[in-house]
Amino acid sequence: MPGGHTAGIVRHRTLSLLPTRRCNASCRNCGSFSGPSARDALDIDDVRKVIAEAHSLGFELVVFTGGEATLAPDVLADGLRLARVLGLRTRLVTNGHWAQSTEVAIAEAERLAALGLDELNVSTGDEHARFVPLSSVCRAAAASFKVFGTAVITVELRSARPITRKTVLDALRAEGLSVDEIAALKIIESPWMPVSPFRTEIYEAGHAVDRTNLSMRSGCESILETYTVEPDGVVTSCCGLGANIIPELHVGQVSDPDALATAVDRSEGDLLKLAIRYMGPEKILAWAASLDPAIDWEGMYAHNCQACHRLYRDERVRSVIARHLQDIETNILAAVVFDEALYPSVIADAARVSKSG
Amino acid sequence: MKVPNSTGPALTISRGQMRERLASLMKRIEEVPDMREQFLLDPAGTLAEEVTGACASRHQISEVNRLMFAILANDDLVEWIAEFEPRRKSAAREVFVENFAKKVVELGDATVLGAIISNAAVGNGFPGLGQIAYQCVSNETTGKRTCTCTPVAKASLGREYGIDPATIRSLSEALVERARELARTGQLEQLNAIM
Repeated sequence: MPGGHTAGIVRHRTLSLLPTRRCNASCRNCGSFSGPSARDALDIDDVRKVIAEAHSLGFELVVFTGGEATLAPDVLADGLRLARVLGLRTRLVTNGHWAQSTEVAIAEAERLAALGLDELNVSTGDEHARFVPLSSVCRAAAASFKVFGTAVITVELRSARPITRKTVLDALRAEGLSVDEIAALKIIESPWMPVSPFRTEIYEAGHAVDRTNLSMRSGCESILETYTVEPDGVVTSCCGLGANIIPELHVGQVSDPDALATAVDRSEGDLLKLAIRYMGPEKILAWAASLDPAIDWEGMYAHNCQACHRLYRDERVRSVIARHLQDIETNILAAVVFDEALYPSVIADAARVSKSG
Repeated sequence: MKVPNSTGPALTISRGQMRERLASLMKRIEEVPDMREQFLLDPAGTLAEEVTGACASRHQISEVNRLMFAILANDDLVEWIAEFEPRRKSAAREVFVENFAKKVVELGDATVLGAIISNAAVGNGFPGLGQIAYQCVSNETTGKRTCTCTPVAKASLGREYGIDPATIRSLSEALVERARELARTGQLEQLNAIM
């Protein structure tokens, strides 16, 4: 039942699959702990089972990521085929290592499209570029644009970095993309972060959250919306970057009967996960600090996954949450109703009236 | 950084039964216009009655939530949001924030404007609200927002509205915070004097 509730709270859900943790790159601080020596991989039958369940629950999108999902070609191909048969939209997140020439890149994008792929996202930045040249990233993005009519490039964001949105744009021009083609690409800069919540990355001014920019931070758009199946079969209730190091986000095993339904039930029944989705980890940290001034948070986190990790690992923060989160329960629930039911209904009604008028 | 690194038991705050009641309330809000009206008028009371079972008063709803609901209770603003179509999708949020401020000023809705500054301007009366509302959103801090944390997140699917509710919530919080800042620095009173 796309667009409706799946007997729960969150309106739109995504299934994210990590067919393998193996990757040709070995980036420092990789959020999924992937690398060339990783060997765990999802079983093809489990992939089929969980995609079918996602369809029956009204999930809308299946994302293949990793590791480098193209290094598990059989699972990727099978998953794409099934998702297409079931009418689910699909996305591949890749580092673009396969785009060794323009011809190869286009042929690979066409092959993936024929299997059932709808969208390609390419990741790059200082870490990724140590293993995959920027030229390959640009060829992959150009092929994506040609085949899918769209492309997304995600660039690591950190201070004093050689690879920025601008260098990617320059490289795209050097690959021969026209001004119109480049304008149609989406280039997202996303903060690179340490895997520990107690270490801080250096960012340019304004990126790390503090009281001057806190109010415009939104909630976490991954938790309760994206359910991820890790290569070892663990099901998590977010996109996966923090999931390996936050046991509270582990909400099932893919081999369980009704694995996704159980994961959704467990996750949406946890007030803290609701708070992370509708307040955001940074605002929870700031709120906790208002009750326990010994909690430092300003200027430390640009990436909300790192702030989320802090919520779960810092004993002082945990203590405030355990004792006081219920005090703001009404406001958390009001935000849930606003986002998931009230606002969509009111705006949809107004749009209908406007069109009919 | 020295902090106590927890290895304690899993941190979850279980509300399993509440989830079912919440989902049921949301379904009725989607299907029954009167239920929407009731929730807009008294969100805390409705949640207490239908979901949590706790005693509640309107005061339990935060300034930010009150502003969000005030926006949805204003037919002109709702119509404007529903029809808002930015020229460039990538600039949608920034363009929306700027235009929204102008629209609030233009409409001069006392409920919305009152909700923006009610905490900050208690006792100051409401002259000059338009200028205050504009200043509330013209602050530099509104440009900094949550990162896109991962290429997995944010499904680029056709959603049924151009501006997502999270943007309205963030904007509401920025407006309230800006109003508080103006109040802290005494600028609300100065604006009132000018007007």
